[in-house]
Amino acid sequence: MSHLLAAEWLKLRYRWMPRVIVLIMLLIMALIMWGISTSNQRPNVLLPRSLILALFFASAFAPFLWPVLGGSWAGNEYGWGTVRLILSRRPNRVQWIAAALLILVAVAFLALIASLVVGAIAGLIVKGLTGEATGSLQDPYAWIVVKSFLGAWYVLIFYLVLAYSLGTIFRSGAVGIGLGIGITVAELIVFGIFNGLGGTWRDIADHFPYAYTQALPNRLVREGTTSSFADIPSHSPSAVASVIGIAIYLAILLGATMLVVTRRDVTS
Amino acid sequence: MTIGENAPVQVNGGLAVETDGLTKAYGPLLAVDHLDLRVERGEIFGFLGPNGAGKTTTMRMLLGLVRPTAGSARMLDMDVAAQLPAILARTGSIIENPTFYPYLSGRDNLRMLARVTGVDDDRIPPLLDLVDLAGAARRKFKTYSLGMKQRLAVAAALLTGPDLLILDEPANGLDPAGIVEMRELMHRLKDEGRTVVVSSHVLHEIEQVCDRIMILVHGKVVVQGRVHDLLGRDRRILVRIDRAGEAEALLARIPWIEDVQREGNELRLAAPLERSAEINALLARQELYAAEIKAEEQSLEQYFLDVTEAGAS
Repeated sequence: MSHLLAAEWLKLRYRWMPRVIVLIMLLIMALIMWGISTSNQRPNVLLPRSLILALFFASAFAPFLWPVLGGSWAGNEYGWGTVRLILSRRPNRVQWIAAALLILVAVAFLALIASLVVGAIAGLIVKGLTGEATGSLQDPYAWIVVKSFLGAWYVLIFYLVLAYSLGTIFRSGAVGIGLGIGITVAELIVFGIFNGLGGTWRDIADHFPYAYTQALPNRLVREGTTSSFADIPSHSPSAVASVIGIAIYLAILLGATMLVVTRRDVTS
Repeated sequence: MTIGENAPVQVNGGLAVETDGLTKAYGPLLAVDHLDLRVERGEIFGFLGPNGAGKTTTMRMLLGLVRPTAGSARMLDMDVAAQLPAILARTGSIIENPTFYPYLSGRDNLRMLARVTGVDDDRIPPLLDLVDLAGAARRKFKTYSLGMKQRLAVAAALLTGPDLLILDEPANGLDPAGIVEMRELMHRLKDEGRTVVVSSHVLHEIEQVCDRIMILVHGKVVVQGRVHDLLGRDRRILVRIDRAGEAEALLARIPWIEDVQREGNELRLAAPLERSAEINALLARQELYAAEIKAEEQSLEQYFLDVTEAGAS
């Protein structure tokens, strides 16, 4: 397994796509924080709240950014035919998938560290420009930042795994990316319709992956920002329910991926 | 440079590859039909057949990429189904066209594979020299020509110093000099005691390098044996003679001449080459004077076409 991890790490080091995705995320994050700093929400862009805000935005962009990396990382192995290059040398397919996913999980971790840096810089800049006082990273903020980090990481991992699984199952990077993002777009449309219908329909919509991946960061950011920042509907899943819901979806995706990969002939 | 990082393997007979009733079906289509393959250790074995004959599918089954529908395979005295990781650790392969990560350089692709296989990076520079890619090692794979890609695939196949090489069309895309180098490399691998299973459509090369061949048609074995024997190098004689009809009648009566075929003033005999002088004497005694008596050389290409056409029909 360590050999495969080392190989995936080498592949990652020379691949530009992860860096581009992280840069896009950080750029959008910085622009939005700049916009917020000019509004009445400015206290949320001061340290330590700016850290929580940065992590919140990292989660918010996740459905549209991270499927690009997850889908291409998996699908290109089939498109380039490198799946047979690896599996004709290391036949353990479960380890191969696990190593790739672990590297993607590491990329998400590093992206969130970079988000924290952007959040910290934004906080310092706003303080420098306005002279407003900043808080310290002590209780309750330290714990909220840790929770927000873990929550954001979890959400990023979900979208990486979603697209990775689809890219693997359909043996195509384009399908992995397209479906990975398309599913969220479809969910948003259906989510809106079901919410409008109310009742049982709304309850069903609250179990969509998108509902969980938005509820979790929303609940966490609410703990660390001013009360007016994030408005959460009362029926929205709790943080714990979101963690469990996402875990169930992850288990389904990973199970389907492993099943397909271990049983399927490599004909690419 | 020794190809393997380990000492060359001992050639003590035995089989490097052995399959029993190996079968692969894709729905109603039998891609490989009860294949019984025997590749001896230390030999170069040619795996031939027209497109779609099942060669690549067989190689994929041996490498664990494709699961057989029926039958079993053993490689290097190990069961493919049960001991695949140990087998692949001692096997190098090229399957179909060379595939690598296009955004990595040739050298980094090998470094990546070195990590996958647990091989030290020190193995890479001599291998790049061996395949004449040292100068282009830092160029991205996507900028390589087909010949360069093929040479990189050869280096990748040799990375672990394998006992067994499975090479699917290794000469594909190589220029004439590259083809000659590939032939020399295979001879060198054999001299080191390694086994090579090679499929190729360049039959002239197969004829020159292979000890034995197998020809598949529609997933079935139509012939396998030593190249020399299959082409009848020691037992086909061509006689050019004016009174060919009389000569045919005479030679057909000789018990050790198995077959006589006449075409114009040429006779084709199935007889031991060392008895050519005896044939000449027999003819001369009847005042039949041959203009020429020589070994009839059949090319593998012609043999392949004859066999595959017969197999297909």
